[in-house]
Amino acid sequence: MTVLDNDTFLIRLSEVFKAAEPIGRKVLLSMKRYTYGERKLIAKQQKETTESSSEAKDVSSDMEYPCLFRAVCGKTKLSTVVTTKDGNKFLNEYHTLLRGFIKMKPKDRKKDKEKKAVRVQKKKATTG
Amino acid sequence: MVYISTWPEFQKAVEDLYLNAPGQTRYVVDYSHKTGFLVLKVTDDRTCLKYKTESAPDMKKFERLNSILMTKMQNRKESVGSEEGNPTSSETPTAPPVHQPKPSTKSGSSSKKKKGKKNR
Repeated sequence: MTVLDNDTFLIRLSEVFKAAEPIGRKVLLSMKRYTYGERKLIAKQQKETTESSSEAKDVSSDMEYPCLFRAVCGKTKLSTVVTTKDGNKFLNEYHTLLRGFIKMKPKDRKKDKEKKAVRVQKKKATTG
Repeated sequence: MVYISTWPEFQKAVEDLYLNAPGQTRYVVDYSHKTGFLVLKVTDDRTCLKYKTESAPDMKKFERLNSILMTKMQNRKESVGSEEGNPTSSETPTAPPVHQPKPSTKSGSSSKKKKGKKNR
């Protein structure tokens, strides 16, 4: 799996969506905390804190982690690591991209009206 | 695998699952243009929570959940609702942004007309 930078990942993701749409293929997007190398870092920091002071601090609660984003469609696999600094910017662009490609049904106003009418009738029945 | 029917229930279950195992939890989104369904799956390899939707209003909820989960995964100490991205802010992570009611702009029957005083 190729690890790309954030902008390239978004460009390739839009290409994946465009290719998947006519075929009707599924696109799988995943998001996870990137913890590669965390154990070694925590062990190192704990060693430093025990050497310097007797109090054992919970190091992992203060740590900030990057986020791993993956996209899979058929044989195409993409991934990128998003740092805390670029988190909001990347997420905004990611959402804009998804809004363009994910097409869902608009709100069914007729069903909502029917539901509301049923609720009003029930209220009248209980009060009256 | 469990499909949860209501969004608030799903969101709460997801946040609880994440708090128990932040390192192992992954959030998977599955979309197929053929069926038009968006399926959200959150799992820590022991418990699996799923939510299926095809309605457009759920897209905003999905985006909000993405930003909440991302903030938690990154263990950022910023507020969740900030879209501009302020890395220097040191606010503690807050609850998801509450939808603020828009001020009512209805005119017509609700507007009160003031009667002018007649100067005699």
